[in-house]
Amino acid sequence: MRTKDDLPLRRRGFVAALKKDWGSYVLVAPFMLIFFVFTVLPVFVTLIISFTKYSVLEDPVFVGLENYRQLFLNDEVFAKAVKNTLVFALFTGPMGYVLSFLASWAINEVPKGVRGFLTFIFYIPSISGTVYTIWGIIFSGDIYGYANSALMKLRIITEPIQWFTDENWIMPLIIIVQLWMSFGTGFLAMRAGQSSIDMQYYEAGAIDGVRNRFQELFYITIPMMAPHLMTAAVLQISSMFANSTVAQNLTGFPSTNYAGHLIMTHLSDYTAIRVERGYASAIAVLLFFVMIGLNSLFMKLLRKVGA
Amino acid sequence: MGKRTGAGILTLAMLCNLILLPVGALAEPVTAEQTVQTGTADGESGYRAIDYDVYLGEYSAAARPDTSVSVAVTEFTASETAGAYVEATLDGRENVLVTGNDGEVTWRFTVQEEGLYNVNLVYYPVEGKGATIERSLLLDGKLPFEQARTLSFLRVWKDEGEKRYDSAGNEFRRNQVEAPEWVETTVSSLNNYMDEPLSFYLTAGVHTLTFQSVSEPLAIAELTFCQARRAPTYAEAYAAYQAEGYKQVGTATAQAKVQGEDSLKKSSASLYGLSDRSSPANETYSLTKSVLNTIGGTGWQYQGDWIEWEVYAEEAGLYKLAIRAKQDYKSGSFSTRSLELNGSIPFAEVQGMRFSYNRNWQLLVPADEKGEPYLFYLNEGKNTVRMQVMVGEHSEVLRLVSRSVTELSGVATKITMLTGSFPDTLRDYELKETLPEIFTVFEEQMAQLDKAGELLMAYSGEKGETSAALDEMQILLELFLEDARIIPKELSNFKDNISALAAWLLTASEQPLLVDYLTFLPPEAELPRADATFWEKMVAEVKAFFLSFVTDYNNIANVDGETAKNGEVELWLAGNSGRDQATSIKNLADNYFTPGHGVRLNIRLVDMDVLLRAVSADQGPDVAIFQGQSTPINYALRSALQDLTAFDDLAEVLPRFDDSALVPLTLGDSLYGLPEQQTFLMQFYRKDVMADLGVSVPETWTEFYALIPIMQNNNLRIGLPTPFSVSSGGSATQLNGLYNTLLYQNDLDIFTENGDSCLLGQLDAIEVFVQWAELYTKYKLDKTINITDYFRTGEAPLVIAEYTTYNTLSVSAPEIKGLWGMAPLPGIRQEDGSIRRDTGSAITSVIMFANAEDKDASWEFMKWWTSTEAQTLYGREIEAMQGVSARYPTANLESMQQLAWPTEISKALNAQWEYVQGVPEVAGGYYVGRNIDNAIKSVVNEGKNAREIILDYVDDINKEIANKRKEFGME
Repeated sequence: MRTKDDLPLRRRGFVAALKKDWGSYVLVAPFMLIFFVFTVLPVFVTLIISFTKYSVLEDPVFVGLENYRQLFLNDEVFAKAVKNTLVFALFTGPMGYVLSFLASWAINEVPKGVRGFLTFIFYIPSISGTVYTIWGIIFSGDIYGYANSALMKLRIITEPIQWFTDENWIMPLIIIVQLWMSFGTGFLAMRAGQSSIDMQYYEAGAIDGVRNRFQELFYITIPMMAPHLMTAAVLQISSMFANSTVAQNLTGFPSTNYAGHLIMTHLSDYTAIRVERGYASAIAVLLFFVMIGLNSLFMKLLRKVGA
Repeated sequence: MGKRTGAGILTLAMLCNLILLPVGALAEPVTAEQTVQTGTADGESGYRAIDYDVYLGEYSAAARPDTSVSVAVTEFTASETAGAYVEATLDGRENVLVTGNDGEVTWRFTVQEEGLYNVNLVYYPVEGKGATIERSLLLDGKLPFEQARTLSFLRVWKDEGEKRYDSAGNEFRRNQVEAPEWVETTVSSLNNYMDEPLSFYLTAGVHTLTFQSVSEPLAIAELTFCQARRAPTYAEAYAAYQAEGYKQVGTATAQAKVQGEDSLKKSSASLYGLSDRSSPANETYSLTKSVLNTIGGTGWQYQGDWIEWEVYAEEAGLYKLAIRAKQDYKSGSFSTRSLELNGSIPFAEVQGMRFSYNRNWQLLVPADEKGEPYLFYLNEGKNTVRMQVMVGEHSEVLRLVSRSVTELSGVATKITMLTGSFPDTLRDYELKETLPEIFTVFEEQMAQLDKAGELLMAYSGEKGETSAALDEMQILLELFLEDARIIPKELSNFKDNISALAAWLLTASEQPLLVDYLTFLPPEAELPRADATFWEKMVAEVKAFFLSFVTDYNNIANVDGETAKNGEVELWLAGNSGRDQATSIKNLADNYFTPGHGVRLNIRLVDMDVLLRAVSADQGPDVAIFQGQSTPINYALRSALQDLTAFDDLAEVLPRFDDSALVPLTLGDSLYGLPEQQTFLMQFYRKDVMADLGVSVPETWTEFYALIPIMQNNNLRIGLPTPFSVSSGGSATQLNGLYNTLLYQNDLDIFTENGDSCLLGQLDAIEVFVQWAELYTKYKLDKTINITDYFRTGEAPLVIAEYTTYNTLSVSAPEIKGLWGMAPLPGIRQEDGSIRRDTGSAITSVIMFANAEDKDASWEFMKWWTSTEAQTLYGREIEAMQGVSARYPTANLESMQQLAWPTEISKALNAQWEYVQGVPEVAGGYYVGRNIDNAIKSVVNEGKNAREIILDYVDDINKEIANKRKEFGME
């Protein structure tokens, strides 16, 4: 049944809506202000700068689509970076996601005390910041690096392998390190999702004819934890494109023949070393749209699972 | 390059080896009785002299005659370079001999009675570069033992002027200045872990004594062979007190007290007042201000370093002593100090005062076993007290372990030379037959380490981390003796253990101690409290926490009363260069810059990432220092920097630097900064290992190539700078140092004159690139190598590295002190016979921004900062604070000569500096380092053809340069 208030509200639209819930808007205002100034505004500024030539120290010069033309048609390194990023993202994104999910699913099966401990163990590489540098020691290029030393002792190799500077090894290694670190916040969200499902659903499922664990997984667990999966996915997608520090710090900047060059690395190359912020902005804008596209694609996919 | 010469030398080296080994093998069984004897006869035979302990062992039966032999110091013969002369008077002494920092001085003297003598020396630390004075002592033309190679003679320092405070009331650390005086000492070694002075064995008859200069000048007044004076026991001293009729001081209030920070003199510039807030019971304690209330700490931990204070006693008589100190540095261990009162040790019991580990402040009262405090006699008025770092009871353990390290490293090298770094674990090397002598060494070292372990147990009463390294080595040696076949398998483990032992030695010999005050009290008086109570500390901490909200710790405040009549300069320096650096620059500027120029300096420590943003927002500094090689031109191309040619007196400033240092700062006719540091490559070599191999340091590349097979046949390595400028975490903007060395030596340039294209693709340059790559591909030299580790073990006796590697080596590898040297790079012999040794260099610089507010004031600062005076002062300051590891590689040529480099090193550096070139910076120049890096990686890692690949990369470079030139409108 409609009340009197409902009708004029729809008609008067926006202003009236503001008036009605003004208290909520006031409460959300401080955050929105900060969000707008430090997140929304920079995105637009980046968009504008991407149409200019801008070296920070001098004023920007409008060049139209020149940066984009260069980026798509004239930048071989960018092409390589796109290829690398796709490979990197394919492995670390979906694979990291699936691994996180499987791990959290597996952990859920073990007794409670051990559960917390295992979660901690899996989660720890991603909170400890720069701990990945131990990979630098393991795969150090001299004969005393752990990997080289072990392989040489076993007589598999006779000369040390320059792991992080050898083109053939860079990509596999940074993918391994990234996977090792991928049990991050997304993983925790999944753990939370799984442990919050009421056991009643499984009992009900068993009565209704669920026959094995996989059916439980597809018909109960995944649909029940859809919001958590969504959160994890959003985090995973942004991280698979934005993660370049690991690659950069282990392989050097830029890596040998750009073998470990990611779009993000390309971006920081143009910001930090070449100081061509216009061009860098063009790369950032591109990356931004790719991420948005992937997010919405994944949302659609997720809605189909278990539906 | 003659293959035949190489082969010839190679055979020779192998022959040498063949001859050397059996000699070692024979030498051992003879001295079965003296366990420490063996092992020295081989391996170290070439360059190293015998160890002091062995030397003493040999003459253990010799007499210690009471006669003394005076050496007439003014009757000497000197080598040409020694610069020795007789000075009529010097600080109150007549007819003294002054020796320079180079060459050698020899005296003849006659001994009547055969036996062991100490050497008593009266010396004067003549002003030099402020470094420790070092001499080698030769008897009859040769080193009597290894420890005589570097004898150190300490200088005398003091705080300059009065205490100083800034406008906020924070106390400033005062500058350290020399206060030279005549010092009487019995010659002892400061790096043999022994407190007793050195003894020399002399037969009756005529001998010669030679002092070889290692560093710094030294004046000598007296030199006597005699027996060192022995301090009386407390019982004897007490009897003497009674004989003199000295009375215990009765007045309960009488007290002779001195604060630690108020020292009179000290042996090192690193011994200055420190600020300690760990206890509110510290004398002079402030929550808001920084006060210097203690002295010592980790700056006061090396054998021989002393601090002297002056105490004032109202009343003459006998006092007890209390020292408030803290030793919370070395858990499970203690620091040892000896005490001197009015110039002599009052009694032997205070030669080894122990300060045990405790997290709280302690009050140490020297006392006998029954707890009865020792009494000291003070004169009425001024008395001097001196405390000196001693090795104390650690001595025996340290000496045992130190010898083990030397012996076992010798064995490790020997095994490596036979089996290589990675022995074939499946092969039996028959070590029992090929190297039988090593097993005797193992047995002896087992016994030595066992003894050392027992002694350690006795001190600390527990088995802790302190003895872990010892235990592990013992287990390993036991295994080796049981089954020789596992030695190759455990070789790297064995080497790791040796390094662990060496590292343990280094830390175990350090004896830090923080001192708050010393006080002499009447024997009946009550002792002051050692530390504050828990509640007092808590209240202080809570107060400090709240005060931290209102106190600004970051601003390096100004000295009161300095007027800035001629303006102010805002200076930024990178946060990673550290607070010590900032304070020290501020300190120097306040003392030497502001007063003369009337310009005040404001320093801020910032993260250099901020610099670009700050400059673009016009919030930047006026001047920034410690800027990397490529920064100035990068900013200059974007018109952010001030061109220094605008200043008329620029021409007066430029001669301070080598022309090469200006190259990276030059763009066309403009100059965008002044250089402050300049570094380049040098050769480092192990004298002992090279001597054993019978080879010398290569002068030319031909010699260098001939050396490679010799080294490799002995399973030794040559360390080159890595060809990859981008290794883990790095970023390649510079051209590889070894590559540019080869280019410059072949008279090739990297860029065209105006910087519009890169010349590395030209025919000659391609050949150089191939030559560089072949060092790693054809000659199989290591692509990455940990220079310090390989060099200290002798596995890589020849290394090419930045000259600042000297700093690292002298700090982290003290066990090879005196056994290594530095030489100019190998070069190419020219037609006239000279050798061209060119190499590129890297600089840091000081720059002024185009929007600097007060350009004249900024320019004044830049001129002052790069001046000889400021650079030398800064270099010495920072070295005093942080030790040799922070030796400053200044670009100022005159200042370079004034920094504390040993004479031999300084000569080598100067020789190389004549050939140093500057690497120009051009628009898009960062692309060169990167592409060459990729090129060499493709060749070295992937085996691609060097000649083909380099052209592609150079094309790429030229494209980028063209792009950038277009961007900057330079076409």
